[in-house]
Amino acid sequence: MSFTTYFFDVASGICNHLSFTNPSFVGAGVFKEVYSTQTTEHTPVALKVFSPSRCNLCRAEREIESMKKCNSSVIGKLYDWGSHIHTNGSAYLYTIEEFFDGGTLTNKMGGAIEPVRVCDYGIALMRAVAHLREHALVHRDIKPDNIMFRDGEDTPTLVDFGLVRDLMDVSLTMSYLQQGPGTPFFASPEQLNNEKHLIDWRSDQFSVGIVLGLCLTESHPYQTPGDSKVSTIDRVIGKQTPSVRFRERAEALGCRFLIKMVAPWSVERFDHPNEIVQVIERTKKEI
Amino acid sequence: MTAYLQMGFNTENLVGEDALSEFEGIILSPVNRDPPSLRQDVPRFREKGTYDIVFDPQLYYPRGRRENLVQQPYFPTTFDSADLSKAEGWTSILDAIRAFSMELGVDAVASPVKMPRRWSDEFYDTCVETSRLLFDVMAGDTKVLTTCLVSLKDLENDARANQIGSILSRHDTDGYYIVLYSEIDPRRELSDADGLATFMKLISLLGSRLPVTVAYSSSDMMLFKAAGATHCGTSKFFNLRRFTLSRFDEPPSGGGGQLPYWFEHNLLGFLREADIRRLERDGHESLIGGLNSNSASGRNIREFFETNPGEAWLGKSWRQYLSWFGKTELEVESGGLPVVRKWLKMAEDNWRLLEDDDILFDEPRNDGSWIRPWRQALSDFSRDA
Repeated sequence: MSFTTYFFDVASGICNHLSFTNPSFVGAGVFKEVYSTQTTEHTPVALKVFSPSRCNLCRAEREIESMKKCNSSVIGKLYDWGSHIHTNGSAYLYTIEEFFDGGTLTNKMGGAIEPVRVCDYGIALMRAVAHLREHALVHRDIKPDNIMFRDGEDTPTLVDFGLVRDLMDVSLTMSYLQQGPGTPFFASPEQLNNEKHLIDWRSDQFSVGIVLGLCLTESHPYQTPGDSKVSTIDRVIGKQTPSVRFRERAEALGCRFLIKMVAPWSVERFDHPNEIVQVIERTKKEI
Repeated sequence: MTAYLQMGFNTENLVGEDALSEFEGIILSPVNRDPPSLRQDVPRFREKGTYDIVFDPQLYYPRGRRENLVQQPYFPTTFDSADLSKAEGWTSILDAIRAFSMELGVDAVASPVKMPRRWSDEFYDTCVETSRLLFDVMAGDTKVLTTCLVSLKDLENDARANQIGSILSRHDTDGYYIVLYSEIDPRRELSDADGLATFMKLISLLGSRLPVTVAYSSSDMMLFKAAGATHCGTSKFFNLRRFTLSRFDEPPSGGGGQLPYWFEHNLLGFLREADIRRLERDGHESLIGGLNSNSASGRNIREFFETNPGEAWLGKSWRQYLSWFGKTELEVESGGLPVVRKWLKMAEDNWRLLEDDDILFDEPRNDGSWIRPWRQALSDFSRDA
């Protein structure tokens, strides 16, 4: 897939200002473009340039503030941030973050992943969610593209806090919206229905469960044979139960915990992230 | 021992009585007791036994019926005009509740809630946020229970229990304190099968996480216990065995319902003295004194009928009911849902027997008609569970 870069000149200007190496385009999201570069100490870093026209400044600031609170090996690190005045006179917000050269979980999902590895991924991701919970943060966009690996390692790391919700702060999502922020295929029912009172770390638990379920069975836990992506999402929106096929597969592969993680109502999911970690560790021994 | 005594008007004297030996906890009533009396009560209760003493700030009482509540140090003069729709509005009240509960030396504090105009998700959100703030304010010095005021009418279906449960489980405290609000006369039994089944589901969802105390309960306690409630509170007065606004139509000082009743386990209903006489006269004496109805308090009443016909037995009736409650709660604790199912079926069979024999009790609506909805609620709940 080819991307049109809009901010290469801006990225070059920032790198020049910081005495970093010339940037290379890595990818783009709705709100920002990502470049790889190296610091003066030759440390590879990711430079993220926020689009001044498309980025919601409040959200960007919240993303930065949230990342500043985090200090965990399973969460991508924020090294620096700032605002760069480009030659065109516009101000561009940017962040300097940890660069992951081991790729994303999406890259590893060519086929079903064996249960023990799924458990390892689950333990790391739930530790990340536990860390976020300690800071009253909800990621709200946990998906394979936002789960990255360091070079030569198989421990997943959670990145991209663009949709993070700080439960101690006012919500930035309008209540009248039918759907809250998130990637629909991985989002919890409460996100899809914009039920703000129900959003908490258990929404992230749901998304991790969906990701792990996909890794294990190669299909979305709510998907029944013949379902399109849209009809699968409709099942989640309607708070139906995970598909019989998924439940049977999860049971057969010894990963019963996934069924609870993706329960439609948050009260039916696990109570604490550490409880999930313990359950997965036990499961891993039994497999 | 799991039953809690819901304090009311002149209830202190019952604490520590042999008839109530199964009661493990006491729920204080700041509506009924002024601050100096509450300060005296706690050490006196501790002298009488080992009790979990719960302080319920009772701020959900309607205006005009607050009695001693307005004298309590945590009751703000601006309570009716303050914006309490957001948890932040409660900050100074929570500080005062902490100070007063520490002074009283209680074991647990129920988080304050205000009676909502609408039973919305926003209301439950405020409930859970207020309890979270109180939990922070108490800083582990005293247990904090998340108060959950729910309306039977709002519990229209299973999904509502999931919705409310999901909101209330957002933050952990030390337990839940549930007040079920209904719009039925205190003397009548709840008979909304769907609402009761949903309420049971809510208890079950919350009870799977933390201990659940259901306040203001009556013989319906058996449904709540079967659903997983840890403690149920009850009182000597009918108008404290249910939280309903119609209770306030009764004379406040006497607690209402001043007729003496015998609680009969075989019918799971309350009988007047004339009803007992009728059963004895018409060959149904075997229906009197089932299981824990025939406690020492129960036997005492029947002996009293023999020796003092026509004399008042109100105090004895309170003790007979409370004794039944405490002992029966223990039996449900060990026997669970199957034992409640058995009791309800037995009671319905017995009411049918009376119907077939044309035995009519004094109160026209005292006909056992609530048993079928209770059975339906239990059946629906156990099917979903």
